[in-house]
Amino acid sequence: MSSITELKLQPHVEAIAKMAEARGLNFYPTEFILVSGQEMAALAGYGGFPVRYPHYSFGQEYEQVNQGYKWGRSRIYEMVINSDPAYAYLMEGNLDVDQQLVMAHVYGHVDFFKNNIWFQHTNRRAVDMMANHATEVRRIVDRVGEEEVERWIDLCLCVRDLIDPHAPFRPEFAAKLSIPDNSTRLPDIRLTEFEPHRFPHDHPDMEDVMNPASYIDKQRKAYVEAIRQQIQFPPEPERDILAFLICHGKMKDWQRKILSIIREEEYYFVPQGQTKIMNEGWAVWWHSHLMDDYAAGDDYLMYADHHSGVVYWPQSSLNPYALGWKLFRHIEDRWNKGKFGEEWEACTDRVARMNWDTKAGLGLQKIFEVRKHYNDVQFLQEFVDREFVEEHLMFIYSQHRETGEIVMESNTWETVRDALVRTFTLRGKPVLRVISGNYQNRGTLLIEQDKEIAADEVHMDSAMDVLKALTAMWGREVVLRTATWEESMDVAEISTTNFVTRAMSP
Amino acid sequence: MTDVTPTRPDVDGIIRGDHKRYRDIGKKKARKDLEKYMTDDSFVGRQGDKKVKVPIPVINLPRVRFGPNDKDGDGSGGKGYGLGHGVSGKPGDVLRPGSYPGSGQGGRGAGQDHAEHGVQQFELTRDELAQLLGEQLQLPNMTRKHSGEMEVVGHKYSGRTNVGPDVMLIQKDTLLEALVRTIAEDEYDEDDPVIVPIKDDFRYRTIKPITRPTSKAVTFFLRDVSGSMGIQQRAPLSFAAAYWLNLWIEYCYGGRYEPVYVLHDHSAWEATKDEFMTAGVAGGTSMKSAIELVKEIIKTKYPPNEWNIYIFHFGDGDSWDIKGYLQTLIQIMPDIAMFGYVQVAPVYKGDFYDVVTAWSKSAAAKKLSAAIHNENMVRTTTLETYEDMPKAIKALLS
Repeated sequence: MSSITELKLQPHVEAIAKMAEARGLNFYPTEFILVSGQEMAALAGYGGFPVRYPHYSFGQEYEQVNQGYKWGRSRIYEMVINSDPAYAYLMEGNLDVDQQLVMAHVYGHVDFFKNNIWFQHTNRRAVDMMANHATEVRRIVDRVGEEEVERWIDLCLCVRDLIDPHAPFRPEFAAKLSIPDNSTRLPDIRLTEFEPHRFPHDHPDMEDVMNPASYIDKQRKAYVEAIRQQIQFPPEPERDILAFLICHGKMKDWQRKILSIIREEEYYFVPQGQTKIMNEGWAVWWHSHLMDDYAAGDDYLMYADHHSGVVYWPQSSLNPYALGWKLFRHIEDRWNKGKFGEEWEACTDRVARMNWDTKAGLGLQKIFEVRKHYNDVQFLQEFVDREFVEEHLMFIYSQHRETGEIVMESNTWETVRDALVRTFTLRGKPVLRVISGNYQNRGTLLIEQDKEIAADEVHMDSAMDVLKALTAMWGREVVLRTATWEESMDVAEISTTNFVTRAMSP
Repeated sequence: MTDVTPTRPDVDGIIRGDHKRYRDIGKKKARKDLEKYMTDDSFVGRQGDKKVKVPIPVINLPRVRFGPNDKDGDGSGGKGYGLGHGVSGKPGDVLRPGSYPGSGQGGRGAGQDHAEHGVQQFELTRDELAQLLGEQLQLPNMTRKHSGEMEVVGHKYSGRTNVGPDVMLIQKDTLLEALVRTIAEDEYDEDDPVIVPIKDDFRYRTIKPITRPTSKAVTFFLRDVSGSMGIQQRAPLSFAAAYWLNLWIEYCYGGRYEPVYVLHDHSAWEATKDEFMTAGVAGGTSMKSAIELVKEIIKTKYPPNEWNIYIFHFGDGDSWDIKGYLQTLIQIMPDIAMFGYVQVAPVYKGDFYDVVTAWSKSAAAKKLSAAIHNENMVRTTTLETYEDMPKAIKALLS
C-alpha cells in the first residue's frame, strides 16, 4: 500500500476536495491509500479495516470477494471508513477518471458520516478501536487457546444483533461496558420493611428460646423470596440483550470480555446499516454533481459509463445506490419546484401536480437537511410518494419458491411504499427484548418477540441454534416467547429443553 | 524525494491466517461430504483438468430471523416477495412463467430470500482433493519402484573450482591456498606475514544440483464396449471410477503419471479419454484381447523397470476366454504393481468376476503375488451404481 501523497493523484485529491467544500460538503480530513486488488479484497474481508480480531468469517468474506473478482462480479472500487481522520482506499490500476469519481464519491460518504445525526455517537477513532480489540482477543487466544475462543466467537456472532439501536441516544448509554466485578444475578433486596413475626413471651431471657435466630432467618429468607418474585427484573423490557447478558450472565471473564467487544463493534456499525440507501444515494449524488464539472472531454464519457454501471438497477432486485440517488434527485426536484407544503398535499389534480413549479429553488438546501436528520426508514416513509413510485413503475412481486414463477402483486403506490418501509424496518428480523431475568422464579431468562411491530413467525431451527448460544451465555435456561402459527394459541415458548404453546392471559 | 509515509499494516498478510482457517474448515466439510461427491453422478463431469470445485454451504451463523417454517415437512417453501421496477402492468400479471419439476429446468430465480443457505463453489486443487480422498477412505500410499531417472529437487553451492565470477569467490579458501603456496616456496616471513594470492590460488563456489531417484507410473484403463455392456450407466460409471483412481495414483506419484485408455469388444484398441467416456459399439466380447494389447503396449512403450504399472479392467462379466485372460495376466504379473477388475453391471452377465475373484484368493495366486510385491496384487470389486463408488475405490486401492 502507498499513500498517494507524492503520486500523480494528489492534485486531484486536493482539487476535488476544494470543489466539494465550495459546494457545501463538510467532511473530516480524508486520507486516500492506494492498494492492490489483493489488499482491497483483504480490506473488504475485514470490513474496511486493516486488522480485526481473528476469525474465519473474515477469511470467508475475503474468499467471496476474490471469487467475485474472478467471475467479473462486484469489483470493489472504493472503501471508506467512518473515522476522524477518515481513510479511503483506491484500487491500483484504475483509470484516473475512475479514481476521481471515487474521490468525489468518498467525500460524499465522509460528509454523511460526519453530519448525519444517527452517527453522532459512533467512535470516530475506529481504526484504533478495531486494532485494540484485535490485540485483546489475541491475548485471550494465547491464554485460552484458538479453538475455544473460536467456538465462543461463533456463539457471540449468533447474538450480535440483539442490541438496541436507539440506546446510544439515551444519556446513560455506554458502548463500552465496564465489566462488573461480581455481576449480580438478581438485584439486591432492601430489608428495611422486614418485620419478622415473633412469639410473645414475658422474660427477655426467653427471647432466644421463643424466637431463635434460625426462626428469624427462615422468615427473612421467605420475605426476600416473596419480594424477589414481585420485583421486575429488569424493571422495564430491555432491548439491549447483550448488555443484560454481560452484566448478569454467568460467563468467564474472558468470555464476557469478548462478548463486550462484539457488542461495542456492533454499535459502531449499526448506523451504517440504518442509512445504507441514503448514504450511497448521497455519495452518488455528489460524484455525479462534481464529476459533471470536473471530468472533461473523453474522460467524461468514461466517467458516465462507470457511473451508469454503479447505478444500474436490475429489474428484480434493489440497488441501494440507484434507489438512494434517484430519491435524492426526486426530493431536490420537488423542493426546487415548490412541490411541498399544505397546498401541494391537498392538490389531487394530476395535471396540476405535474406542471407545478413555483421556482422555489430550495432543492439543494432540502437535501442537505435530509442528509442530516433522516435514516433510511424515515427517508423512504416520507419521500417515496405517488409520483416516485409511478415514475419508476415500481411494484411488489411474489415468486414461487419451487417453480420460480413471478407474479405482480401490487403497484399501488402506498402498498409499495409500505412494503419498502417494512422491509427496511424489520430487515428480516424480529425485535426481541428481555422481559425477565427470573422467569418462573427459576432464574430463567425470558426473551419476548415484539408482536406489535411484526407478528410474523420466527424461523424455528435458527432460533433454536441461537437459544443454545444464549443459554451458554446466561448460564441457565433461556426461553424465547414468539408468535405461533397454532390457531388457538397466542404464543410459543421455546427453550433448548422445552416447547410449549399457550394462550396469554389478558 | 519521497515523503515519509507511515508503515501500513500488512493487511493481506494478516488476513491469511483467517483465510487459511476458513479453507481448513471448508476442506473438513468437503471431506465429510466426499462420499456424497463420489456418489453424485454429475460430479466428475463438472470438473476441469486442473481445479476441482465442490459446493460447500457458505458458513452463515444462525440468527433469530423471520422465516417460513417447513411445516409440511416436504421442503416446499411457498412464496418469497421482492421489489421490482420498470414494468407496467397490473396485479395478477405473470411476469415470468414458472418451470415445473420434470421440465428439466431449475426454478430458482432472482429474489431468493435472506440467503442463510447460500452455496459457494469452493475451489480445491487436485492434490487437495486427492488428500481428502486418501484421508476419508484411508488409502495407503502406493509402493513404488524407481525408474532409474534422477530428478533435480534443488541446488547447493558445495562445489569448488578454480575459475568463476567474483561473486562466487571464497576468500578463506583462496587465502589458505596462497598461504600454503607461500610457505612451500619458503617465502613466508612470520614477522611480516603478507600473503599475495595469484591466479592459481583463487577458489570459487559452483552450483551442484541435488537429485533424487524418481518414480513414475502408468495406469491402464480397459473397458468393454461391446453390446453386452450398455452405454447408459456403465460408460460414465467407469469413467467416474477412472477419475478417482487417476486422482489418487497421480497424487502418489507427484504428477509423474500417464493414463492409457483401452477399449475392446471382440478386439482391442487404444483410445482417448473422451472415447473411454462415451464409446459403445455392438459386437461380442473378448476381454483377453484387451489384456493382450496391454501386454504389447507395455513391451513397446513402458519398460517395467522404469514404470510402475497399474491395470484396471471394467467389464460386465461376459467373456469368451477367461482362462486365456488369466494366463496372460499371470505372464505380465511380475511386471506390474497391481491389477483390478471392476464388474460394472447391474445384471449378472457371466462368470468373469467369480472366476477372477476365486483365483485371486487361491493359494497359488497369493503365492505368486506375494513373491512379486504382496499378497494382494489382484483385486476385484463390483460397481453397480454411483452408490457403490466409495467402496469400490477403497477396495481397489487399499
